[in-house]
Amino acid sequence: MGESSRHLDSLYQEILLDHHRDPRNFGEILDADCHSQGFNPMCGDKVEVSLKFSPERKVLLEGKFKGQGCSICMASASMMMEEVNGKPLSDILESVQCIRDVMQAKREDSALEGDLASLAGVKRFPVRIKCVLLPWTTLKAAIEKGCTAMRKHSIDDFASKLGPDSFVTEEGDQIS
Amino acid sequence: MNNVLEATDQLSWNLKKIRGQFAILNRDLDGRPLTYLDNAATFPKPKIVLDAVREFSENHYSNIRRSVHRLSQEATEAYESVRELFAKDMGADSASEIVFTSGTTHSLNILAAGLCSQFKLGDEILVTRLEHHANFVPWQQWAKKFGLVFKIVELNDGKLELGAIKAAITAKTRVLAVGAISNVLGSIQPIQEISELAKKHGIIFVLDAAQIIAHENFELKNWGSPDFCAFSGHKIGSPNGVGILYGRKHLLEKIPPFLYGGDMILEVGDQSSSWNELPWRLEAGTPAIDAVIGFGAAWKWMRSLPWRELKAHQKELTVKGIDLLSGVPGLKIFGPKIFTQRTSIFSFEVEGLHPHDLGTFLDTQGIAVRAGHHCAQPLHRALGKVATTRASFAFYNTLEELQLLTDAILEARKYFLKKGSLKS
Repeated sequence: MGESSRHLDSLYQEILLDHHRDPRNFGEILDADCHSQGFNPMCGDKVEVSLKFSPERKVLLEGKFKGQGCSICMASASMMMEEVNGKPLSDILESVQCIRDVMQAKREDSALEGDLASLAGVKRFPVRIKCVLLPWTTLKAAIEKGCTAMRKHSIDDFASKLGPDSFVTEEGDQIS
Repeated sequence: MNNVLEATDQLSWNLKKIRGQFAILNRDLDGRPLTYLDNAATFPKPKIVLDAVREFSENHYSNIRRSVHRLSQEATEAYESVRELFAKDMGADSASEIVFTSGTTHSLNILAAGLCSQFKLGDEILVTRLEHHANFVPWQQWAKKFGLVFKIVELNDGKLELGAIKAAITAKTRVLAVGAISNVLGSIQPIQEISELAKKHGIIFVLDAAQIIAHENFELKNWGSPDFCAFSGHKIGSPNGVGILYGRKHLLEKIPPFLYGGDMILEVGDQSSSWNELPWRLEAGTPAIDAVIGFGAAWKWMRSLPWRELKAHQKELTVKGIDLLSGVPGLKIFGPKIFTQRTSIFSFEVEGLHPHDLGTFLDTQGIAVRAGHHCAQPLHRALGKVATTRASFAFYNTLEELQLLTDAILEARKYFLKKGSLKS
């Protein structure tokens, strides 16, 4: 076993391949509050995320993913959904930042706990970091989309009460 | 028998000499030598090219066509002599038909923008399902901008057929743009017939020659004498950032400047300007002077190679490539299986194994292949694949390297089978 084979084993760890073989939370939520699609232009891999929030949109009640991708990308998505389901949105955004930081060696590998720890091995293969991060950036985009939609929704309500003299831009910024 | 042996000896001697030009092949990857099978993406840099650039830069470098000093004169002469070289070797009518660009993509953007701006609303631009993004997106976008119809000729079982092109041509078709060799399938298109068809209908025929020049000594007349043609230097080991746009003089004259600035002008007024003559009108700004010198060196070197032998070797690589790779369980090669219809660019899938995972495994064995859509998403959509793995062999690759690749793919299967992420 050479150096490179050892690296290969650190990349393709048993837990990671288990998630690839048997992805958790795979599918689509039909009455989801928001969807997002992420695309890796380098290889064409695709991840779609659908999320269902608590009524005040503070907690992720359920999240599912589907898509096509390599073992790293699919395993990362599966672990991600397991990690974030039922968590407050603020914690989830922190997790997204955390995994990004670990991939960019800005935080220690030990910041990744549980199954996620198996993703740290990808750092040795810089071209594959995108594979890990694609599901996470897609999740972040979905959460942001969901929150913007809700803000716009509440501002729309507010604007309708103000009457015709004020209006709301598409981004939800109020102009008077 | 003796003759065969001698021929083989001669070939291996020549291959050894050719491979000696590529210092990068000595690169050590965890104790293994590099097996470089990504030639369709870019070609390694031969020593003779690097030396030429260095010699020029150390002795003659200066800006061209601008100053009266001796170096500028020498640099201008060296630069323009490369243009003459291309015109002569390609069989152009004159050097003014050769425009230096930053590469195929740049060439085709100049063309698409310039041609599309001159057609009438509703006129049609025709490309094929096989095209590289460089010969697809510029037409798609410039056609949209000028209200033209962008049409794609579909394939029949992965094959571009003359009949399909015929059927797609209408009285409004103005341009037909086709890549000679698919950078994904390795297939060679019937360019002579396609060109004749275009000419018969008075359609401008544009040839994307990017993948030809590393496979043979390119001459326009062998590829349907196109109206325009484009290719990049780095596909034969020139420095990056240089390529060629060829156009028949009377047509090239109709192409307006794509970039404005220095050197492309005749006279600059406060509110309007007039343009220099061809080819300089299309070469705004200081060009990649040293890269052009390197491109000339790469081109000359390629033309000095023993092509009769190399052709036979390429044939062997192609035939044995199909044979050996097809023998791997679950492996499917896309594109033609008959060697006369293809080059030694092999895109394939291994059932159950994502190209990225296979690519990473091969990398740990010192083998460089490409995994992805190879800048041809429209084609991959038609293949029903998000991505494929591509091993592109050049004339300098050996049968041993083909065997290494085959064995490594078998090893990858074993590895992922053992890990349980691949079903047997």
